[in-house]
Amino acid sequence: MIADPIREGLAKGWMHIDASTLGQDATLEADVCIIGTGAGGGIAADVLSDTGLKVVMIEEGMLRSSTDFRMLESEAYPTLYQESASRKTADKAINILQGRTVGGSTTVNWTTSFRTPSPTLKFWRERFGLTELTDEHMAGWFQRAEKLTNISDWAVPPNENNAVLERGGQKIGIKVERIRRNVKGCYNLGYCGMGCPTNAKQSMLVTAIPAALNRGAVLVSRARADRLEVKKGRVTAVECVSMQGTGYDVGRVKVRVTAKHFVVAGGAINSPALLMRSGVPDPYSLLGKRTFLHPSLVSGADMGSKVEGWSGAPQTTYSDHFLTTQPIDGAMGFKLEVPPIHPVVYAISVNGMTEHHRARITNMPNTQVTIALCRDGFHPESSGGQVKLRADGSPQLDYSLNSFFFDAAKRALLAMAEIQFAAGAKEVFPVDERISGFRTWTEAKSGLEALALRAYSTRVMSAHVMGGCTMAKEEKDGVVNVYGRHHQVENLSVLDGSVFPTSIGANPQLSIYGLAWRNAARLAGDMRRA
Amino acid sequence: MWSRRRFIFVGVAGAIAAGAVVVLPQLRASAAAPRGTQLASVHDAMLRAVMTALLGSALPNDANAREPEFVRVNKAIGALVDNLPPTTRKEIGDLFGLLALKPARALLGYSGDWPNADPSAVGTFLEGLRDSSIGLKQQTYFALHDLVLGSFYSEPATWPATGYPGPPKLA
Repeated sequence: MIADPIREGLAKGWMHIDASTLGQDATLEADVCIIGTGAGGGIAADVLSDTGLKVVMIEEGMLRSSTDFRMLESEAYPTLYQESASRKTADKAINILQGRTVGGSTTVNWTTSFRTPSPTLKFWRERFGLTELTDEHMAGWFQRAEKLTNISDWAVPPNENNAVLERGGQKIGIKVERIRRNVKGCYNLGYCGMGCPTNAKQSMLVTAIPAALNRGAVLVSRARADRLEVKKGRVTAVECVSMQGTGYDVGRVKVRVTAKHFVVAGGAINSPALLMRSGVPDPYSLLGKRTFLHPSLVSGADMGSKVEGWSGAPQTTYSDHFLTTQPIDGAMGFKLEVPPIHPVVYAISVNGMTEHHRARITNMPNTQVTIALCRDGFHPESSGGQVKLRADGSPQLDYSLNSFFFDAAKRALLAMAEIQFAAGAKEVFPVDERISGFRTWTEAKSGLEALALRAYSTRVMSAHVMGGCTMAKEEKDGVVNVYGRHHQVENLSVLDGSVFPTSIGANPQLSIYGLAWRNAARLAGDMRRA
Repeated sequence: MWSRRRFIFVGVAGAIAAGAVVVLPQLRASAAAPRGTQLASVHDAMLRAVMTALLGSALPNDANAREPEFVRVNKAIGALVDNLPPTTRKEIGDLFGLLALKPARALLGYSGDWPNADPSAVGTFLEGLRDSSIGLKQQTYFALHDLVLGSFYSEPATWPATGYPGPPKLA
């Protein structure tokens, strides 16, 4: 029997309110109200509660824990992901994976841990005035987060899915390295994306949030922050609505939280949307703009022998060759990684229909998949998407895929096919509806070169949403300042991935932890002095 | 240090106060959004035709054996749609509504009926949507594709044929 630290904590008396079960409206007061419990909100709750501040956390998703994590896609997607893992951009050309549960995306991510790459920080210093954000300055904050979440080298050999990237990369002479992971006592199961059933993944759910709850912080789940009440340049309260059942319908009960300071950490898309709904000042029309996705391409391969991509740590190898061998602000670079393969996500992601589709899915055990994550946001032709509000106040990301992106997409699909063939693939199928499959690298090369990639036909996905509340020194360049404090509203901070001025160029969890830690520590100091 | 007792007190007392004096802006919309289960049941004939065309030999050959599969996938589609935001449910409702109207679906490329539809005609229709250069047609294809295939393969009984053993047993 695996211990469930969340259920144990609740039994011990943690203060958790499931707003969907409230019979009447509620009002809470706190020193700091944190909206969102993912990578940013979790760290903020831990750091702020540790200084003795009264913290209330608001989360739209459910409180789920290891006992609930049964490794089933049919349960995990509707209960742990935004829009049942089918959140989409406005034109529906990009599917977005984003968490919606206590712990946010950290509860469902694949444990991949990278510090913010040096060239990304350099770009921020030069273009956004974030001069303090040097590698040396950030190192201390990353170390704290690495200690909290046990980020360390993963000594177990990669599963075959990841080994293909390593082997193929080495064959064609590009550098492939191993990924560090935030796990402790990992069973190497391969179901990180459905919530860790053994609590090995050191997500916010089992680290920072329990730490805050142990100090008396309050967690309100199934409550959506509807709007911040802003009066005379200060936020006076956040008004939340309860959510019904497991879905998206709003209940009748309202939860109001008053606090001295408000931390918005709903993640990119939801954070800027909350500020928009609240009519927070935006004098330079920056809010919601520069939202980035690491738009990703997918390439499948029939290896002719067992791969079993559902089994074993899902992401353990990567290549930055196509990021580091060209200028950051030139043609778009891409990072190569490998995703886990499970029936629902594979059935949806692979191209073709009827017998073609059936042939693909019945060959799932022999299938390898590589993904290329494009580094958006570093070039004038890659200015990201824009978060807008629908008539009902819900957010929508308008992100168009332009020729600058498709140029990178073409190079990415070519690179992946070459690597997969080099690793021994019998057939490679870059995921585009017009490609049925290639038998040789030569065939793939000419086939891909002749094809005009386009939205919809070429499958594009995202698991990393960043930006929308740009962090910049000057008011005219950003929504928040170098400490995540809102440029116009005194007692409002944004501490999540939405402050990134560009994409990260790596899986963002550790970048969010490190920056949120730095900025939450600064906020705690400011509040102590006030 | 703040006390737990005090916090709870504020919570309950505050709840009463808030109920009396705080008037929140009227919550917006969501009333018009259809339920997924209802949508799937109303559009059962269309979904059966699309399932037959998209799934092909993944479905049993025998008509009697197909019946429970249709029922199961229909139910799974309903549950999936129920866990989507009201705006998305409404979009899916609009799309299904469009496909239910003969003149509208003829414009999209299928002028036949849904009950007892010819699978190859529906297949040709779906391919036409997929290969179209019009974004809305492609969106229609992917919506049907994801709903049907995702719902079909979420069921453990479909896994043995794919070679997926299902999740490991934990001690």
